Amino acid sequence: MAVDLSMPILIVDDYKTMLRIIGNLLKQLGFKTIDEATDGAEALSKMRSKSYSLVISDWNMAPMTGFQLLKEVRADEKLKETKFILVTAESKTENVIAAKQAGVNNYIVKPFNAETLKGKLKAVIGEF
Amino acid sequence: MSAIVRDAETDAHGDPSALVDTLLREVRALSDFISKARGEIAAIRPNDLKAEKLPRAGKELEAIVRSTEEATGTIMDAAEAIMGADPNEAVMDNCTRIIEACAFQDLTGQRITKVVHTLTFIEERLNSMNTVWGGVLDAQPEDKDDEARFLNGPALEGEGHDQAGIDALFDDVKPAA
Repeated sequence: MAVDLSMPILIVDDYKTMLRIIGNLLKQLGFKTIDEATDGAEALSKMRSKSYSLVISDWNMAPMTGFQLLKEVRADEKLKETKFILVTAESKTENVIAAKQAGVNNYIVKPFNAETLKGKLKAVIGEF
Repeated sequence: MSAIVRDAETDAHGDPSALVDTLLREVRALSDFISKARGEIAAIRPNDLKAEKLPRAGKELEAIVRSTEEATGTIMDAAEAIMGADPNEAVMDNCTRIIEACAFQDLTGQRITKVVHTLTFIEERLNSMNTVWGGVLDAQPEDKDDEARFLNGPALEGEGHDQAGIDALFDDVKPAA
C-alpha cells in the first residue's frame, strides 16, 4: 500500500536549523503535514493533542531527551504504536542498543543527507 | 598567625593557661578551615579535570574547527558551482554573500584558538596546584546517572559509528521483550 504523503509527522529538535533542514527535506520528498517541537516535553504534549503517524526526534535535548520521549511514547497506551526515528549525533554502540531496546524504529546519525533520510523513511513507513 | 597570638595574649590578661586554651581553640579553627578548603578544592576534581576533561575539551574544540572548515569548503564549492552554472546578477550577488559569510570559519577558528590557550593555562595551573598539595586532591571519578552516559554529543574521530555501522548494529540488536 502506498504511503499517504499527507500523514502527520512531528519533528523534534532543539536546534531550529535542524528543524528547518529536516522539514525542508520532508517537503521535498512530498510530505505535506509537518509539525515541529523543540524538546521532548513539547513533543509529548503535541502528540497527546494530535495523532501523528511518525516522530523524527533528536536525542540530546533538555529538559526531556529524545530517548526519554521515546520511552514515554512506548509506555503510553494511546501513543505506543507511533513510528519513531531518532536523528542524533550520538553514535556510540550503547546508545544504539538502548534505543533499539526501547523500541525505536530506526536510527540516523548526524550529519546525514537527503538520501539517508529517504532510505530510513522507506524502511519505517514503506515505499513512497 | 602572629595576629592570632597577639589577640590570644590580650584575651588571656597574663594568665598562661587561658592563653594556651585560646591558642588551642584558634589552632583547631584554623585546622577546620584548612580541612574545609581541601574538601572544596577536591570537589573541583582537579585530577579529573587535568587527566580527562581539559584534554577532552581541547579535542572537542579542534574537532569544531575541523568540522566548520570542511562544511565551509562544501558551502563555498556549491556557491561557486552555482555562480558558474547561472551567472545572472542576482545569483552572483547572493552567492557572493554566501562566500563572504563563510569568513565566519576563520573568525571562529581564531576565537577557539584563544580558548584552547586558556585551557592549556588552566591545565598548567592545576598541575602546579596538585604538586603543592602532594596529590591529596585525587577524587573518585564522577558518577554518571543511568541516562547521562548516553549524552556525549558528536563523537570524535575513531569513536562511535558512521551510518553503516549504526545500521549493522541496529539490525543485530533485538528489541526488549
